[in-house]
Amino acid sequence: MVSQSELIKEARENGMELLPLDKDTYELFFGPQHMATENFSIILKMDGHRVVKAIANPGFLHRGFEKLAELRPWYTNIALLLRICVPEPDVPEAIYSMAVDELMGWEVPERAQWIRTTVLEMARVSAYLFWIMGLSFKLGVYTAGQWAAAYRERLMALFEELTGARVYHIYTIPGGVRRDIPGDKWLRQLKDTVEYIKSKLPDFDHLVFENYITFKRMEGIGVMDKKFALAEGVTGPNLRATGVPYDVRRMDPYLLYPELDFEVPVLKEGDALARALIRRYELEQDLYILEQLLEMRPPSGPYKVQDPRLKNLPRFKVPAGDAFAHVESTKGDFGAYVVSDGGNKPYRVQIRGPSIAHGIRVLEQLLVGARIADVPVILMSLDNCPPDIDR
Amino acid sequence: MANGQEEKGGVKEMTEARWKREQALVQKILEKAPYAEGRVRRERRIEFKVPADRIRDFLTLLKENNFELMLQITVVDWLKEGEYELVYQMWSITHRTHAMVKMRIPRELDKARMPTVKDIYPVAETYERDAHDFYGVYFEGNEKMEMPWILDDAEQGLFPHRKDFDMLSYVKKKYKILDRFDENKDNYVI
Amino acid sequence: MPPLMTSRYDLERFGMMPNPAPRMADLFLITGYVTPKTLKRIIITYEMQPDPKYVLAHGSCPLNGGVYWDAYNAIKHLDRYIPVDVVIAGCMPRPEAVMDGIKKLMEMIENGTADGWKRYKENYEWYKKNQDELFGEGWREREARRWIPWLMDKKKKEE
Repeated sequence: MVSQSELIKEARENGMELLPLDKDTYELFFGPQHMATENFSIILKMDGHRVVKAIANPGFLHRGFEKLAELRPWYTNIALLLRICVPEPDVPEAIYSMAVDELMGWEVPERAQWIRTTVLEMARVSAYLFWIMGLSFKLGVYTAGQWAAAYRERLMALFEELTGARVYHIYTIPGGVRRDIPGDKWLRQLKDTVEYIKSKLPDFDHLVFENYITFKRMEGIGVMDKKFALAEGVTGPNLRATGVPYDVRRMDPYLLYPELDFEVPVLKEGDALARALIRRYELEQDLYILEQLLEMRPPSGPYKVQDPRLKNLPRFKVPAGDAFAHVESTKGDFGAYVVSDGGNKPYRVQIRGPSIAHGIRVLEQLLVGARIADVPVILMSLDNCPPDIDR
Repeated sequence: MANGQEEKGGVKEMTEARWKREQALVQKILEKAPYAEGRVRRERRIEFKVPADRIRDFLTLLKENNFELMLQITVVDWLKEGEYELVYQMWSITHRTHAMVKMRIPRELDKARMPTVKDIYPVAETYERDAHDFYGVYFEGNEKMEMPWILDDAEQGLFPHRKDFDMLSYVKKKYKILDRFDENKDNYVI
Repeated sequence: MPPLMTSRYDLERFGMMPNPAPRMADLFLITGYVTPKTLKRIIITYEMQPDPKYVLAHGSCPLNGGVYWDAYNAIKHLDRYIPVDVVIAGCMPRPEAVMDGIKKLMEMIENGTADGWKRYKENYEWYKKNQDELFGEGWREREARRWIPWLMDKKKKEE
């Protein structure tokens, strides 16, 4: 039998020291190699199975977009900047194009506005289905996750026919969109898909959102109140779950949203269950918006701005100035700030992802006192997207 | 669209009289802050310019005037003028307006220091860590300046987003590859 | 990648299942670009796997840098740090392309040419030299101790 002091001595000789933290606590890496966090790491200081302190550790996906965008011409940046947020691929394209449109002073034609709005709404629906898949896998209800992935596949097939690729569509460009809609058949298929997903929503309710197990696991944990959320810069469904009706589509309308009729759901409790239920209500509202858009039918006309400067894209110059554009994505308020000095490359492009507000400080404060099994549930209810933080 | 410039000028002057709500808001804030300048850019976008040492008073004033959310702190590196421009982007839910607060500080690393605003808007702590890691702006009073943020240990003191950081030669030295790419090429026509 | 594990392009009918523990895994899927911070964890996880083990790299970013060819924080040539058996081209590759790559890997295993793990053991000094040049000597200990000063209570840090 070897005594403990001999073991400690042998460990020290081989360079494996045991560094205890404060009394009775240990360090746990809730690291990137985990099915619950996606490429994000949290350093936890645990006491038994309760968390005492948490530190968020981003930086696994940092590619330096803001520096790379300064070295490429204006139109090439679309192919680069859209890789920022993968579950929702159209949002970075849309904000960059809107900012450059404002700098140029263009008026985007109506057909292009209709197409941009439809593509943004389809991206929102597919992002919400992706979120339902993630939530179901973390709660243990694997059936609902597989359904959500299957319905998302139908939207991916529609995207592929419209833009040419499933995930990275290089489609929304400054001045309009790149290609026209491939005919009436695509519109009919979209209508059928929207009706199909709408008819399957009661199944999701039955399994996930009206389930006693979900309520027991998610109620009362991760509570935020209104003042805390506003001071910490939280936007999106997380803020609407605390009682503030802030939706960019209503407050700073862009594209065709002034003409559409939809509700903005608001709840008051501010815990993880409220955040999950808000996303379920918003999925229903997004399907309703798509129905209205399809009933409106796309207006006829050009789908791109007709400008002779667009004939020579690598030498395309934008007048000097700066512009800010933001869009409501499923995670929150996604914004871009573009500065130009009159050259053929941008001078500064800053992309503000919504997770930088609720992924770092809010997470560190909400995790104190939670059990180890609550950590993935809190993370998923906040809908953290790590590439937004790292860019 | 080809003669868009003059038409835009005429249309803009005509509709600037319509932005009364934004004009009233700018006037109300400028009354209490005589050291600042402000103007209305278009509907729901206003802009202020503030000297560097009065930023805390100005942000406290904005907070009392219902600008609840701070969206971002952006650093723009003007190499030719030798200055950093810090843009604080604020959004007000009650007034439905976006306000940009701009100020300039010198660009040298030992002179680029600013007071922190994290007691007025707590989220500014994260934004200041971001600005410090990439540009080297030091915010006094923020105790998380030394904490590792996004960059790894190898790039910690290099401040890679500055305009005089030569990225291609750094990449060649670090990864020992890309020898076939010409350093003198200025426009990458991809 | 998630569409692969779910109902449309089901991989489980071919006998593959996602498994979070590296000690029980055979195949390592690296989907997309790799940053140095992630590469440290990849190397540790790869060395935790028991032999025989295979590595499948998705996308054109592990191949030659891809879109981020001049970024300071993306690894350009992943084969210098861990041995890669099959690379699937595309940005993003379609799920059918990934299944084609897995089928090719299965053929290589039957032929006996999928020998990434043997190459790693034989040329360990070369791989270790490349890793140490990128990260600096003694990177494992430094990485494990990095957050301890920030987790301790204040008064102990001042002691």
